[in-house]
Amino acid sequence: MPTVHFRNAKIFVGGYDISGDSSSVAVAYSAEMLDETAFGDTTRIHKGGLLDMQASIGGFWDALAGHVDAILWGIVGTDDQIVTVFANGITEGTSTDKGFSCKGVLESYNLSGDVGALLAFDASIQARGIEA
Amino acid sequence: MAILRAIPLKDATSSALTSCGQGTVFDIGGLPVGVSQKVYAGLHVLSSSTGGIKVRILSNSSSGYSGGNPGTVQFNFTCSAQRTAEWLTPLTTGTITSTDRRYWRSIWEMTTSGESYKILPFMGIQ
Repeated sequence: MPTVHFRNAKIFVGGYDISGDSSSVAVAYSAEMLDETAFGDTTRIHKGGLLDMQASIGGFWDALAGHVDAILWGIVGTDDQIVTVFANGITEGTSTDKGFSCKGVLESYNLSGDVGALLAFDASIQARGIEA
Repeated sequence: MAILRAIPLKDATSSALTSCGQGTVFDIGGLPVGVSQKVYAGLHVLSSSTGGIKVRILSNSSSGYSGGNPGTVQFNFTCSAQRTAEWLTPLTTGTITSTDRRYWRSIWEMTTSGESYKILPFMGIQ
């Protein structure tokens, strides 16, 4: 698998493509670690637990219709937002460049910036873990 | 498991669709009997017209989707005349027959030719 020049991530939230407002994305897929260490063990014993996913998005704040402020502000805390991220563009039928998709809830939406810089936003989405 | 590794079936996210059509057939695989896997499918509708677009995902045992074997509709998304997104109930071996239907495609219909829709149907088996 070749390395990836990371410049073409695609990010979809509901009926919107927010890739053009975004400049960073992270997908964190994890399992909770359960500690089943008992007396007599000489190492910590871990056991895999529940799976989880979180997506973090950052970019440039834009308040026009169809852009991040209009899209994300109103759905903070709203369940079952369908979020899909392709890290390396969209390739139809791919078996290698698959995306990540889930029903999620927008945990946070923030804007921040320093004087003289582009006003930035960041958002965090937690997977809900439900199927349909 | 409801965190899907998504395989795009049609990338109409930049160039809008303006007529009914069907996507490329892809060998994505069937649903193995006796293995606890499901088929998941979702759709983003990124721009829309007043009439609405109806998107379906089909599977077939043949890559040809010939006239006598046009495939089986496995996922039938809600007709949409607005921006939206939808995940449908995943399929199990109980809902897909034992026939090895490993060839998948998306198809789309719009109520009036000349309308314009941007869509991204996707699926995954896991």
